[in-house]
Amino acid sequence: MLGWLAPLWLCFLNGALAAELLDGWEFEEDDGGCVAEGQTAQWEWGEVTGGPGAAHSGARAWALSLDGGYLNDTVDTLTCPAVDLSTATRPVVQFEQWFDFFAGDAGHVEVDDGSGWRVVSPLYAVVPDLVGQSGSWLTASVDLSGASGPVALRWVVVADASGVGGGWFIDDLRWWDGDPVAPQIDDVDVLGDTDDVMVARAVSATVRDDVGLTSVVLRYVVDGGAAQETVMAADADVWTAALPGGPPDTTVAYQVLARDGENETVSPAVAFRYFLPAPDNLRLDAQRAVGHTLPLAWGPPFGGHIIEGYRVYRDEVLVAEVSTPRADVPVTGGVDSFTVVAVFGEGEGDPSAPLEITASIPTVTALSPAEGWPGDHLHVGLTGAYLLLTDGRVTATLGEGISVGVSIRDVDSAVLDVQIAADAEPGGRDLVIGTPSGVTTALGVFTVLDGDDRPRLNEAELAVWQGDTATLQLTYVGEMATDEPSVDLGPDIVIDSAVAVSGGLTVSCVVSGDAAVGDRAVTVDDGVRIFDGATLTVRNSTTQGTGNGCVSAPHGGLVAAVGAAAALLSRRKRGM
Amino acid sequence: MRSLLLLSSALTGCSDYFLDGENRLVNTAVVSESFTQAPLPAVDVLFVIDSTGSMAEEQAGFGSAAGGFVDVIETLGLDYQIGVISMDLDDGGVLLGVPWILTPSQDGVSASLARNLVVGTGSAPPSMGLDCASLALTDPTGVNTGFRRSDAALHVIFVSDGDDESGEVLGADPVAAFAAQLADAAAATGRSARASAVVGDVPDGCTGSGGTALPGARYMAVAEASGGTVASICAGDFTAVGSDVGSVVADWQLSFPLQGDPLDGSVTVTLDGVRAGSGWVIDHAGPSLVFQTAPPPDAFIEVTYSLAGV
Repeated sequence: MLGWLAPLWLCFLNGALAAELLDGWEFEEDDGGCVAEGQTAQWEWGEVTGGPGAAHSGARAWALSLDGGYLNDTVDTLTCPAVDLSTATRPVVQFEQWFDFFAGDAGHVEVDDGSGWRVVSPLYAVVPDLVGQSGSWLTASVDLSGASGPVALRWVVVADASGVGGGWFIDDLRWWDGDPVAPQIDDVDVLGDTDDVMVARAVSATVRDDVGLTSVVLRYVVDGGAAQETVMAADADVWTAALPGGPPDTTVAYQVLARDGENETVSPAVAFRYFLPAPDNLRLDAQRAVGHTLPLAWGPPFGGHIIEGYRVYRDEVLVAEVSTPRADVPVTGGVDSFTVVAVFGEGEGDPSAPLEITASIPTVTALSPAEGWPGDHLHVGLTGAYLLLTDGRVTATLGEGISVGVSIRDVDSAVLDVQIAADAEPGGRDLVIGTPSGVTTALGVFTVLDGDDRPRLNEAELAVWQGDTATLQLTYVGEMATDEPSVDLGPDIVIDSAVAVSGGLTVSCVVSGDAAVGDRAVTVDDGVRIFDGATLTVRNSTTQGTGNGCVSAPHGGLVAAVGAAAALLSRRKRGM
Repeated sequence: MRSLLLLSSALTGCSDYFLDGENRLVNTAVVSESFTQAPLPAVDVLFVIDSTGSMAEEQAGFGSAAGGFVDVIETLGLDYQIGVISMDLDDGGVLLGVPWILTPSQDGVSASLARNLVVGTGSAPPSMGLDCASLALTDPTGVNTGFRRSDAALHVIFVSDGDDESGEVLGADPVAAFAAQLADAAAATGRSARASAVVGDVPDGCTGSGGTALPGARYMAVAEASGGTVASICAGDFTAVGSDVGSVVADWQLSFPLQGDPLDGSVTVTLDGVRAGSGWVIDHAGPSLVFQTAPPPDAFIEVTYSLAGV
């Protein structure tokens, strides 16, 4: 009959009011001899399937009814056999109960010590009637002081004619002599987080005991450290103590401990933080997350604390300190998590809600060619990602002694017209690209070579007459990127063809009769580099002497082709 | 492609003769240049995608056709930029996706376009494709910086299973206003500016695997006014739609620069061996040969002219 209750019996043997277990029923192996009576006699013993879903201990209990619910408009009782309390000095009966009564229905407990049934109130209960819902299994204790001899106990349910609840379940009935009942702690102040840092906070609770309290303390832990206790002072049933103030970002957990000399009750732990407020609405202050740095903005924190500044963290690493709620912060191109904190005189405040940004980083992926000699004039192909190149709004520099023009192809590519001064310092150069969206620097991506190996035309004295059809033979140093380069001999000279082979360049052309007389530079563009260094002289056809204007006298590398023979000069070349 | 053929040079024994502007005999050299018509290298393509709830299947279908579309324009040799916006005015015409401007130099353009075209279906009506496209192109906030190039043709492709309900940006007659915006763009760049529509059939709408589509009359009107193409959103085969639109995106060259400045009256032009007596002019400022209507792709153009003073 006592079953698992025996160890408890041993536990309460110590002290003047040690509780001695006199009798008890688990209602597991049998029904304890209890009897269901009343108008419908609906109490039943067995395995619990309704109500709480399971017995308090084991599988079986008394219930109204086992599968939940009860009958309407009835008064029913569950009466258990009397226990002899004649030797007890302070008899107490305890049981576990779960209840769910519909509005208008109620339950109560009665005892009969031979003088008839009388209603008794459980300890700490305000009224004897049970109404509403218990929510969980609860221990009920009834002080039977004054009773002697055999005392019987019964549970009475009074149901009206409308509606039913989940029922009433009774388990683990124990009869004691002594003080098995622990102090009752109610209404513990639940303190929320506060920005009143370093300010002590009072905690109150209602603490009662059926026999008498021996101590009530407030136990607390600061930031997971060692537990500390402070004695609470009483004002009737209300006990109060103060928690010490804490610095920002301090967590304090506390609970009330009440002892009656025999038993101890500990209230559920409550925790709060001392904090300084966080900025809010952290956001990207731009329409696109593109750039090496991005602008962030946020709202100042609430409250009356004086803000001295802000700190911005990227993945918990400090990346900016500013005095206003805005900062340009570096990004990695991966997923960056940013938070911002306000800095107060009292210390650093809470971090804002994190802002995750996946930025697109402007990047130069290719520069071709990536080197040139002093004196070179190059077409350098630029390819990148997220450069946001825009017509007429892009600048590019390669440092001192190099001029750079920009011709945009699309947002990610351009052709740079690079002219390297003859006295440019050899070595690596950074490419700095400026756009309306920002500046991108590609470190050491271009090299000015050292030496005098610049590919160029060899000097030659070339001459043609106005009205000539001519074939020019030139030579050059270095390699050409194409065997059909583009040749420019200036206004009024039409290029028919230009073929480069093994250091030699053959150019066929027609010189307009209107072509200006004099010297002009010969330039050859192979798509990568502009070759220069040669000069062509156009001579006045009226000074040509005998013959006609379509004949050129050979001068230097000039070869003239005349009349119908020139028709053989046709050759397709790349246009546009 | 261009070539130059020197036919003859003038004066006694090997000369041609020509009257100049003052009826004086001048000796000339007759030259010939030839070109092969090629696609215009630069075109900016703006997809405008309906983002209302009924568009989920269509968006998925169009996304899968992105590869076909990109194949078409890459085969044409275009130097393209592609952007995608929604028809939700709350999106403000901002190009969507990352990267939001697709170019030939990027890796995986087809996959990027397929991803960007799925703009979502969370927008509430009304759907304002014309207003959104107008905002994207005028770009008042600069968020689409770099998308429109000063030397590029423009092609706007509307995809919707409903009709346009614009007006907040373009006013009471959004069709006319957007057509005018396209015309302005063409005038500013010297390149074509067109719109195409992948919408519900007019006048009865249509039903396809993606559900029922209302007639897209406004989008069709803009497409027809600008010389673009119209396709049915109910066709189901979005690859074919993408290819069809892609072929219209191409824009061909009107002007061919000449190496020499032809004497007036000396010029003859042939297209694929057939003499073209009209439909072109010589722009001496270039100098260049300028056609009123672009020769078709791969057309062989030969121009023969005389140079003065030889």
